[in-house]
Amino acid sequence: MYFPKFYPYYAHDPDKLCKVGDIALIELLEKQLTRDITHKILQVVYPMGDVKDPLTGKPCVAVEFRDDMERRDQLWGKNENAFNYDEAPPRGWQEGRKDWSHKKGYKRWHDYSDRDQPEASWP
Amino acid sequence: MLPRLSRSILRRPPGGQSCTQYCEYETSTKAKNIPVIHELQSIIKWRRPQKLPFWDPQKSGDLKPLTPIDPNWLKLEYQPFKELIETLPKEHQKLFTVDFAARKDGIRVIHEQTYKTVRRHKYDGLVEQSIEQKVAWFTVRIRDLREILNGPLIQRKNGIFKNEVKILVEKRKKWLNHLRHIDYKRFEWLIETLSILFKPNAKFEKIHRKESVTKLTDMLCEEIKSRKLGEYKLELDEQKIPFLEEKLTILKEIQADEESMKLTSSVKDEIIETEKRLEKLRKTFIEIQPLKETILESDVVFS
Repeated sequence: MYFPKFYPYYAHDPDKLCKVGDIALIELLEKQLTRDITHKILQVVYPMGDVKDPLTGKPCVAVEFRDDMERRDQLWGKNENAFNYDEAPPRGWQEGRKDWSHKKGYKRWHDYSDRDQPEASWP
Repeated sequence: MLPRLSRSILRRPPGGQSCTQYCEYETSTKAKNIPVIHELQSIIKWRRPQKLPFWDPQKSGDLKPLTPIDPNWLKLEYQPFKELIETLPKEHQKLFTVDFAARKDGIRVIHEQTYKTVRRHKYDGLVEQSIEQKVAWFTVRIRDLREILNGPLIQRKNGIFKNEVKILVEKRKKWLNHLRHIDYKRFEWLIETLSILFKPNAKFEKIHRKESVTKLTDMLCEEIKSRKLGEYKLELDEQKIPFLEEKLTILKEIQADEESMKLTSSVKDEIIETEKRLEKLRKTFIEIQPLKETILESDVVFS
C-alpha cells in the first residue's frame, strides 16, 4: 500500500477471520481489553495474495493487472496446462498438506518418536 | 579454598569403581565437589535431532524424486525432426536417442517436460522468465544433484555440487515466498504440481542440551498438573450430585408447603435451574472417557 508511515495495533479477533498478511479494517474498542489490545476487527478487506485495485476494482498482481497479464499471454500463445484463475479453489486448500506457512516456524530441538513436525526445520 | 578435582581422575576411574564413587572416596572430607546426578536425568531422555545434508528431501522439501530417464527419448536438438528419423532403420535411430548421449542431454529433456506443465506461454523465458518456470528449473536441478550426491563416493565428495544445492534450495524458497505474497492461489497450484513442501522460516538458534531438557521437564510438569487437576475436578463434581439431590428435595418440600398455604411459589425458578444442572452433571459422567495417553509418556520411562 502507499502509506509512508505505519504503526502496529493489537486487534481482537475471536472468530479468527484474519490470517497473517491480510489487510483488514479495525475499529476502536469502547473498553480496552488489555494493556495492548485496543481495537477489534470488522472485516477482511483484501486477503494476502488476492488484492484488488481500489480505484478500478480490478484484481492485480503486485503492480500489474491480471487482465493485462492474461492478454499478454494470449498474444504469445497461452499454454493449456498453465494456471487458470477461474478453476482455482479458494485460498487455504493446501493448508496442512504442503503449505505450512500458517504456523510459526522453529528449529527441531528434540527427536520425537511418535509425532511429526512438518513445520519445524531441520538442523 | 577447596582443591579442584583433576579432570583426568574423573575420566579414568580405577577398575570396577564408578566415577561418583571414586569422587566420594577422593573427597570424603570435602563433600562439596561431588557431582550430583539429578533424578530427572533418569526420567527424561533427550535425543538430539539428526543433522541432515542439504540435498536430503526432508530438508529441501522435495516430495518426489527425479523422473527416470527413458533411453528411447530423442535428444532435444533432434525432436523437431521426429518424423524424418522414424523412417531410418532401427540401428541408425539409436544414434539420435538419449541412450547414446551424455546424462546432461537426458536431463535437458526432463527440464523441457516440466516447463510444459507449468509455464505460461510457448516463449516463456525468451524475453523475461516467469516465476513458475524459474521454480521448475530449480526443482529439476536440485533433484538432479540429489541423485548425483547419493551416487558413488567420488561424486559424493564433490564440494562444488554440495554448495550449489544449498544455494538453489534457498533461492527457490525466496522465489516461492515472493509468489506467496503476490499471488497466493498460483503459489498453492505451483506447490501441488511440482510437489514441494513449503515450511515457514525458523530463527537461527543453536540447540543445547540443557535448554531442551528444561523444555521437556516443563512439558511433563504441565501435563502432570493438568491431569491431576482433571482428576480432582471429577472428584468434586461427583460430590455435587448428592448435594443437589438434597437441595431438590428440600425445595420441593418448600413448594408443597407454600401450595398448602395458597401462596405463589417463590422457588419455582430455582427448581428448574437445579434440575438442569443435575442433568448436565449426570450426562458428563456417562460421556467422559478415560484420559488419553499423553504424547510425552512414550519418551519417558519412570524409574
